[in-house]
Amino acid sequence: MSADLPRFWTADKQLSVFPEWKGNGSEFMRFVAPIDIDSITEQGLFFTAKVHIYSPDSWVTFQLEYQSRDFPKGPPFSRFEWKPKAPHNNKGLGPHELRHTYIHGTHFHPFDLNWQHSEVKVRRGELPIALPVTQNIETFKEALEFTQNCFRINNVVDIPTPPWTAKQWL
Amino acid sequence: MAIADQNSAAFQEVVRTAVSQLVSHTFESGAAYVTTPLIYPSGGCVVVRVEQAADSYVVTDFGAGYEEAQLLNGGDTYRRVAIGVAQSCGVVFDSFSFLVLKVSSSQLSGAIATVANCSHEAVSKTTEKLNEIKALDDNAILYERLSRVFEARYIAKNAEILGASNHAWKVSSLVTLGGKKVAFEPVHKSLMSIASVSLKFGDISATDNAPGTVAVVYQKHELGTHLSLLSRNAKVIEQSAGDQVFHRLLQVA
Repeated sequence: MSADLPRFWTADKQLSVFPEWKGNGSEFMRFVAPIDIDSITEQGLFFTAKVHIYSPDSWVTFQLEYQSRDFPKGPPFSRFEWKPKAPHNNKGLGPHELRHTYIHGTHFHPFDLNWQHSEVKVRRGELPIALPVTQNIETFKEALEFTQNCFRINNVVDIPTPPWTAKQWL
Repeated sequence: MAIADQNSAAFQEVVRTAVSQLVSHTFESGAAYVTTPLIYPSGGCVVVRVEQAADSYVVTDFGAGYEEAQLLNGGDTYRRVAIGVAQSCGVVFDSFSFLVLKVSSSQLSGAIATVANCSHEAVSKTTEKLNEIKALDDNAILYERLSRVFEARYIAKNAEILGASNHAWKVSSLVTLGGKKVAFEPVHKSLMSIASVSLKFGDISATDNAPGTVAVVYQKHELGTHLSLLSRNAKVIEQSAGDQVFHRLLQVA
């Protein structure tokens, strides 16, 4: 039920299991884990993390995703981007001071602000509003700690380090 | 603003600075990443990578467009869309990335623009298609709901109804029960959705013995003044309406 999203966001959560990072042949790998709330693994609720295998210690995307009957593809309802390659632009949405400005570096797409803007868009996985993260987050472990706090998932710090590698250039 | 001010040095400097910020690049591990002014629907900027290969260059979006689509779990849709986009622009798509191989230095800026545009276009088209898929889902959800309220044998999916214009319209679900007929249609808050359903229901309502027409929306307040447009040609209920509301719609039809 889409009405569950605010509950999922505010609940204290934990990852049910810690699967391996997996790739599909592209330059990106994913970590996907179901989420427990009060010892129950919630149907359709997932935590995902994505890395670019040739960009060690940067460009990691963390998401909370919910797969429902209405939205079987499991769109995200909050996202944290740690040291992304691309800046983000809120266009004309969100806090006035951030409209039409480029957010370079680490930023966070909060559930609350996006939900306030459009519940329909959030249910579709569209999170157009982001806030810059001013806190200095240098290491993967620090990124996990930040994610743990803002997503309220109490064991995110136990996720294994991604299998980053060096690219063999042409 | 006075005309004399329009070409002032300060004005020119502000514009020069803004324009210079539109494109930037970084060198990382032997490759250059170019940030372009194009913005994906998510708000992220389109970035392409330039690699040197002997005496030429390779330009690619290195699968970043695919990953954007994957944020919405639209990777498969993206792949189908991207093949067409690549063909129309004369570039390669390798299941994940757009690529232009063997680019000379004089072609480099054009190749960067082409690859960035391909990536952007494919993600935008994917987003549109995902929303269309959602509309199909809405029809299925509405049918399921009606099946719980009435029996399935009383409901026709994608029923054809002739309008006053003699155009044959497809309605999402037509309930026929106790000599009454009511057409149900899911409606989004977008003007396009509202306009198309209003047109359809307007034409149907203008016929003799027209069925009742009901638009089913997520939340009425989201429609704002467009609700008035919709309610000219249909009764409007929210998805969350109770069973008794659906029964009443049949009674008053």
